[in-house]
Amino acid sequence: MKKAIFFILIAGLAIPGLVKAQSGYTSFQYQIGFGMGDLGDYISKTSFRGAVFDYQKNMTSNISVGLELAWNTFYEDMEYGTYTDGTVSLSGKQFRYSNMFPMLATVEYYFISEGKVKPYFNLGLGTMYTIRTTDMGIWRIEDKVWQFALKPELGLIYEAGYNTSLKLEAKYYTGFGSSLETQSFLAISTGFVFNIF
Amino acid sequence: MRRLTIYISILVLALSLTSCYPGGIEYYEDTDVVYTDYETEYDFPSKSTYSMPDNVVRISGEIIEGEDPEFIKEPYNTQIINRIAENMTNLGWTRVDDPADADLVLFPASWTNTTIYYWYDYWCWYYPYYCGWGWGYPSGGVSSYTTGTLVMTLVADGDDYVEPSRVWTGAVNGLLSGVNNINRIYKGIDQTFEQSPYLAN
Repeated sequence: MKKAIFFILIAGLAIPGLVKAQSGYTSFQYQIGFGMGDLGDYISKTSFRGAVFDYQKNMTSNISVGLELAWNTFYEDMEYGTYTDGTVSLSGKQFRYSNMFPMLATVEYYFISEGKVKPYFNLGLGTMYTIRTTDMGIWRIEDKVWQFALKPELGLIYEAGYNTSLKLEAKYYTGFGSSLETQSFLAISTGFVFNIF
Repeated sequence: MRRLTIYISILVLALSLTSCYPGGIEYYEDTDVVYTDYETEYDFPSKSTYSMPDNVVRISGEIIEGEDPEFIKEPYNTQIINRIAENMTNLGWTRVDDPADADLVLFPASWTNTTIYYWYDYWCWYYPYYCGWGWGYPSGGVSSYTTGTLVMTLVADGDDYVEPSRVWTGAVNGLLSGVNNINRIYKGIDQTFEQSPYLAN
């Protein structure tokens, strides 16, 4: 996993240089996540540890395509409790973690293509890598799964300067199709957009 | 300036990835785990007596056949035996001296386990410059941790059994702190019986 993250970061460094002659943008955002469904049942706490790297290349004045790399960590310190399965009961404190890494190809549609404020709809399709970890006592149970991922998103870009804009977006990530149940979370992110000309 | 901002943002993202496991264990007590299991076919409510030795066996793995086992030291031995007896009494059981007269026999035992682990800088095999020479880059290290376990087993014997059979197991496990804290053991023993309501008479 560390190698994959390293490769993604190197790609993020290279892309602005590679597409210097094209039009579009890159953005970096801080992201908050709210677990839903099975993820919300496993960890009820909000994730305040998240980030997004987003690259978009303009195809027309209203449509762009690109990719998104994101990460959120969900964590909860469970109270001392008893967990029973059949005739076996286990009591102790649990520390639960879920690291989510969506990696998506995206299409973005701008409702308004000119002006300082550009609201848009974005749809992402790709994969999400999830590391679910449960620590109890000195033991750790870890599941690492790849899932097919889908992400609808609504947001807006505010042109703050010639090359820089601000972005605010709300999105819903959902990953399915593996040994884990469907993993979903609602996310709100905000950050900077750097236009590429 | 824009490119510099982009690179700094990527660096911040990279650094933030190191915090994938926030929080976690803060105190030795956070590692305490209690385990119980039982035989569903055994009719606990129909039984009422048990016997138990006055000593907790210390399993070291070094005993020679024919030798007496080791026991844990006082005052912990008596403290543990008394706490187990108190919980059994609260569940309605009567302790008898002769195991031949008892419905069940409770065997308490304990052991410690030390795990030693090491890590090394994986660049070291390729470029020894990083093996503690040059800028003093750390080349690895060794560490260890010790856990303690107390296990209680209820064994049934008699006409219904070809040989003695385990009908209930309770175990307490946790990281040893080096400070003898009987309260952690008391809490674990109490929990094993609290999560075993089927033992009640």
